[in-house]
Amino acid sequence: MKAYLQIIKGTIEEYATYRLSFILWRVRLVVQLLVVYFMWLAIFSEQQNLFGYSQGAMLTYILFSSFVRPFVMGTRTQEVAEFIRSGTLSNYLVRPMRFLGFCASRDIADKLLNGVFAVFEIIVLYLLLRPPLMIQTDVVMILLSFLALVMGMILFFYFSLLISYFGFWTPDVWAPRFLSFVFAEFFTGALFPLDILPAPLYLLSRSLPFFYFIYFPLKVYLGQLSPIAILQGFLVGLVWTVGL
Amino acid sequence: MRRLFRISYALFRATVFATIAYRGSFIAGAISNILWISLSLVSISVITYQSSTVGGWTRLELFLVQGVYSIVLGTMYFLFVANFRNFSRLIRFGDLDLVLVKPYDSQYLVSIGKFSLHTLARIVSGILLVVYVIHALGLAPSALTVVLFCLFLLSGMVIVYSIWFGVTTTLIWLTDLFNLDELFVQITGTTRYPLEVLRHISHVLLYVTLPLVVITTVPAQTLLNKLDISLALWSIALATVFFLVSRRFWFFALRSYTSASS
Repeated sequence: MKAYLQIIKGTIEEYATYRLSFILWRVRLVVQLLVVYFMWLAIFSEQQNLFGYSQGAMLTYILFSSFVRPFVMGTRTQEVAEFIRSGTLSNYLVRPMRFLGFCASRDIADKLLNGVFAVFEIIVLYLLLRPPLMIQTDVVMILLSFLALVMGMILFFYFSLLISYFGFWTPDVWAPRFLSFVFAEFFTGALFPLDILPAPLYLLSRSLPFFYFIYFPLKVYLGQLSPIAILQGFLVGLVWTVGL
Repeated sequence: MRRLFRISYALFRATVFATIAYRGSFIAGAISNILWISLSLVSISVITYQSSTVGGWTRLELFLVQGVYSIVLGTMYFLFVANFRNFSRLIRFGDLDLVLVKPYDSQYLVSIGKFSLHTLARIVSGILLVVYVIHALGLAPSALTVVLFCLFLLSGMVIVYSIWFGVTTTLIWLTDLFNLDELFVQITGTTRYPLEVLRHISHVLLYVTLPLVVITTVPAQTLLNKLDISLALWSIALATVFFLVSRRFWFFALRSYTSASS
């Protein structure tokens, strides 16, 4: 356990060394959020209710998606492909710790740091923009959305690791990673809630693991899912986690 | 000028041979680019499904902006981005020395060298999208409109190139920074939307993003016969000023380059 804590500490120190790069990364995410936020503000300036969402519910979804995103999709597992390609994987395999534990520790450090910054940014943005946020008061829903978030994190961890394993067969892992990135951008629900998609696309999104990365935890938080839909979501998400 | 074309052709041939060696990556990259533009169109369709306009722009007009964005950004990726990404490596390993001693313009040599052939799919998709919108809207652009469209497209590309190159040049001082281009990719993402969509942004932020937003808005307005003359003049003026400043900044920055290899 102590070794894994050291890995987390070391990874955070690594980020601190290249702090300007990390800050630029965060600025990038804030710009991305602002563009999507203002686009939705422009859409809702012409109508009050769209796609079954009020302006408050939609802006809450958009703002919180930027908070959930680094927690779920902040990862270091892409470096595993480089370990395989360069042959340095052996150095990690001979260490007296589980390789998956090593990767998970690196990811936890990444998520911790990004999460802290995301909280800070959301507070600043809230104070600057004063959006009509929807705050969930039901403790059960908050707990369930936290569980959905943890499930999304585990699912994404295995998903990203799986893509890196392509490195065993091809030196060019960027192609499948970019392809998955394009799909993920659309089907995770980071840009808009997936239930505003036309029915066939929504059904397709439900059959993909991306559905459980951002959209599912946020829908649970907003309290817009029935108990059966929540249970179904957790069961399918668990099947995906075990499958991956 | 002949020399420039000769060097560019030689570099292009070298890229083609390298691409042939990794055909799978090329095909996957091209598919990803087509998929990316397709999903962007689906996003616009979804957004305009119940709300007929966004910031006064209809679905087809937003498609046009998306098409222009794909052409401009696709060209940037095709010609320059791989080289800009390599720039931080040139500095850290001292390889910029090898570029500086070559008997040709150093700005050209660090900007061009490696072409991203798979992004041609994005450029072609963008052109097809623009042609489709012209047809669907029943527009009949005159020869002058087409010339102006190409001119504003070119000025948009010059603006993006100049800012991106200027930002990349700062790596001469900020050697530890390796993800500067990612930030720029995100910022250029704002140009996917017309200026009016971002009108809720505070004035300060709007003026910061103005140089980027005119990149797609002005060419799209030209084709739609809605050209805002003041924005068009801004576009040309910004392209000229930004290019000259980026060039001066490059030679100024080179004075601070100390080389890592000697």
